[in-house]
Amino acid sequence: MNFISPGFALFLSIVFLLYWFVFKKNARSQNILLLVASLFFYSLFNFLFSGLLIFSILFNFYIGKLIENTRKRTARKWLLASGLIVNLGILFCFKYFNLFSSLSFVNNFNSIPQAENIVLPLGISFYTFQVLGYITDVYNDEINSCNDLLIFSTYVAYFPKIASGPIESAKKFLPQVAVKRNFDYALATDGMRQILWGLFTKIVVANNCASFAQPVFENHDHYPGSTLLLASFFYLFQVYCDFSGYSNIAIGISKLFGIQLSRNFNAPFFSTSIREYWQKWHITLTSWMMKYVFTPLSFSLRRFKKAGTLISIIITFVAVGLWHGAEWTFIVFGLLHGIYFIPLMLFPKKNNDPLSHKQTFFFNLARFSKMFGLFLLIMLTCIFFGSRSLAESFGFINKIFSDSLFSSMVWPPFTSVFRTFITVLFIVILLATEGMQRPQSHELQLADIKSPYLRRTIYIAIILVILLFGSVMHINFLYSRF
Amino acid sequence: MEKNAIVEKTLIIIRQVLKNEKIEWNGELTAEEINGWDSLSHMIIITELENEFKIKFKLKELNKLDNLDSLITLIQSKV
Amino acid sequence: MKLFIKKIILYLLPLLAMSAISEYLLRIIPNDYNKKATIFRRDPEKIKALILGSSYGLYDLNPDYFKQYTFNGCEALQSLDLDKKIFDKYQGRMTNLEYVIMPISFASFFFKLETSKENHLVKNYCLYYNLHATNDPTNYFELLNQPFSVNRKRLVDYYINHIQDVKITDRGFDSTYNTRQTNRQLVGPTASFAIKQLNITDFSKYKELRRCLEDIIVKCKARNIGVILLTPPAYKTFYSLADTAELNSSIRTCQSIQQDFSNVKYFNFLEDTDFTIDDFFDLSHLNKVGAKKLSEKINAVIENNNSDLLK
Repeated sequence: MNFISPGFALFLSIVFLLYWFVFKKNARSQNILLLVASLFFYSLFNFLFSGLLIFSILFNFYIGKLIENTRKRTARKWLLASGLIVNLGILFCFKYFNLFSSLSFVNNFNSIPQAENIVLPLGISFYTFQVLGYITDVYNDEINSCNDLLIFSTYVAYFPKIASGPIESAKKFLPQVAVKRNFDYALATDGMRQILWGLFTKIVVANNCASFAQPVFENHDHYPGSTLLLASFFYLFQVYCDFSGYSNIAIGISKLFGIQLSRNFNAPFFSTSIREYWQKWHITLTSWMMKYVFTPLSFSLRRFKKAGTLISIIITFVAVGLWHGAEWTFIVFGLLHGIYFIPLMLFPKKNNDPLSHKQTFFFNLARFSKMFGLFLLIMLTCIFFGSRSLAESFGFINKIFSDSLFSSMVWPPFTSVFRTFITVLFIVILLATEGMQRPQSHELQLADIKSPYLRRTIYIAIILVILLFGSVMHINFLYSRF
Repeated sequence: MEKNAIVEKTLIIIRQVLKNEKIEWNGELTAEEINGWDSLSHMIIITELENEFKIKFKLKELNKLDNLDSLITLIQSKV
Repeated sequence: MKLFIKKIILYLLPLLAMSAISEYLLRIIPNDYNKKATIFRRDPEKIKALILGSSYGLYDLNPDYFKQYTFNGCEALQSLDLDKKIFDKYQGRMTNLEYVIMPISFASFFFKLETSKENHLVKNYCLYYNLHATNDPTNYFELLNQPFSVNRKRLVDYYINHIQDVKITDRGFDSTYNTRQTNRQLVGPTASFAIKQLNITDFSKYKELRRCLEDIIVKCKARNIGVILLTPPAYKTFYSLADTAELNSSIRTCQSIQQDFSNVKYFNFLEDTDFTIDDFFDLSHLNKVGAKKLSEKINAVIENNNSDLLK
């Protein structure tokens, strides 16, 4: 059941009404409803895989308790190791086994991975990382193990985030579902606004970008460099708007139930360095990787000083690439991002602002050049992200840097100058809104606009734009395949 | 070692690593609140502190730090 | 909470109103299905010969070349279960019906629209023929059936650009296959590729669909209505490259049905040499010229019908 479907709207309405009118007595009844709804939601995707989800819940719940109740260091280490092996083993089986077992993948950079015969359980990368973080935090005595199976199950299976995150830390989520949630009008309406913005970014911006980018990426041989360059631009925005749209919808839905999820994107294209970019793109994955991969790795390599830190960064970002899939294209994607940190580490810049969270509202040429330069570097990595093989990626890039960059455009099917122009216009609107709204928790938090009529006009305008310009041809969310 | 001396040396290291001379000491500040202090610079700062005070941190200890004051307390316990 | 729900309703009401209006406007756009359903409702007693089937009937059999009043009730991708539903609904009103003509292709006993990739077309039978053709509720609303962007385009095309969607004549024949596609598409690699796309992989529907056809035949028999089954002509590239197991299976089934039912006559035009390259639109569909030829042949069968042939 896709978030953007009449079926899901009906499901959400029913769960919402039951939650606040029938199951409102206490936290336990609220969690029972959320768990049943989540398992129902999950089983619609694939009934058998809900068994795997339930196994993951039970296994990690009991492993967590065992780790906490065992005080002997060696035993705790073995328990943690078992937990990691089982969780990563399951992930490996579904995501990577099929690809590693094909010799052509191992031997041939040019192969296009054939993964059709293994269906990936929905959200496995996301919920596995959540439970890995949980058992590690228990091991490190950062949190107490959860003693309530219902609360823990709700944490893992929670339907707004099960498909594509955000990857929530147990520390942040568990306390919220341990207490009764009371209806908060301001939070619920804020959730609706965030859902609306998510729908706009997904249905209008992402899907219209996809109409141009997808056919080009699928058949790049047929297009000149000029078209490929534009397709790369649209593809980057497709990925961004698809995923950030999903995240906004998920966070907004969760607010309707009085539960706050972590922000996952924060205007990443306004970053002026790769470091800043990864603090604002897929924030929960970056935080997870930094905490559980980079930090322990760089800690053990700290005697090598900057070199140790650099190696740790590169390994961490290769892991980020691998998280998306065991394909060379994702590995190169991650590797490139790691390599982009090298100049930053070797030539750190002076920093005049002592405190963070200061947003620069005014652009100067220097700042804009950095943003633009970074954008081009990210666009390059996106070519690998969107290609099916390294050979395709290199072919794609070669063509962009060939004479055909100056050839006239070849329009993909069902696209036109007008439609492309409209898509670019919406990208500009998106970026302008993000730029102005950076201090807010999401783009449609319009508390600064005092006039309720102006606010309502904006909401209605967005709804009309979705109805008039939205496309549902690429309705599935990209990140639901990870 | 006296707490003030530790604070002084720690502040110098933080300013050096983060390339920002304008950072002033406030024990209640967290890493997120200080511009430029992220996972990357965190490790560099930790390494420099270890070298400066001739101590060795444990990862578990670092994960439990709340703010700058707790960092000073940890250093004090090891010096 | 009350205020929240009130606000949601306030925003939803105009959306619901717009949806209702859009649904209505979509449903009244003239299309082939509502035109045929209207003819079935309006003039059933006029129909003496009824053609039922998929695109092989829609493009291959032109009622204008039948002496008796003939109506073409075929549609692209209309499977045998839908033929049965249409027949069941209207046969009681077709009081003068004498013949039912059904082109049977290689896919007829294996393809069911409801379980195919094009299952969104089932909504046309639900909405315009008022058939209970599926349990999927999205097939009972235009807005739920297709993405909104598709419906939006339909509204703009009809109400603003005045583009008509009706392609059939008053007797139900689709005459848009005027000439043949290029020779390139009738021979060579393009043809081979096209044939590969047609190959059936799912044979599970055979029994069900055969039963649908036999049900029509039994009801015709009870009313002394003759049934003409035919394997439509195909261009030689088609029957030389297509999966012979599928083709032969359909042909053998028709032969078997002819033996089982005295009111059935089966004709195999697959390799009929009367049909040349100039008669085909593509590998397996006739153009207007070829349709005239085939229609005249079937008309001749009806006109020359002896008393013991079909009744």
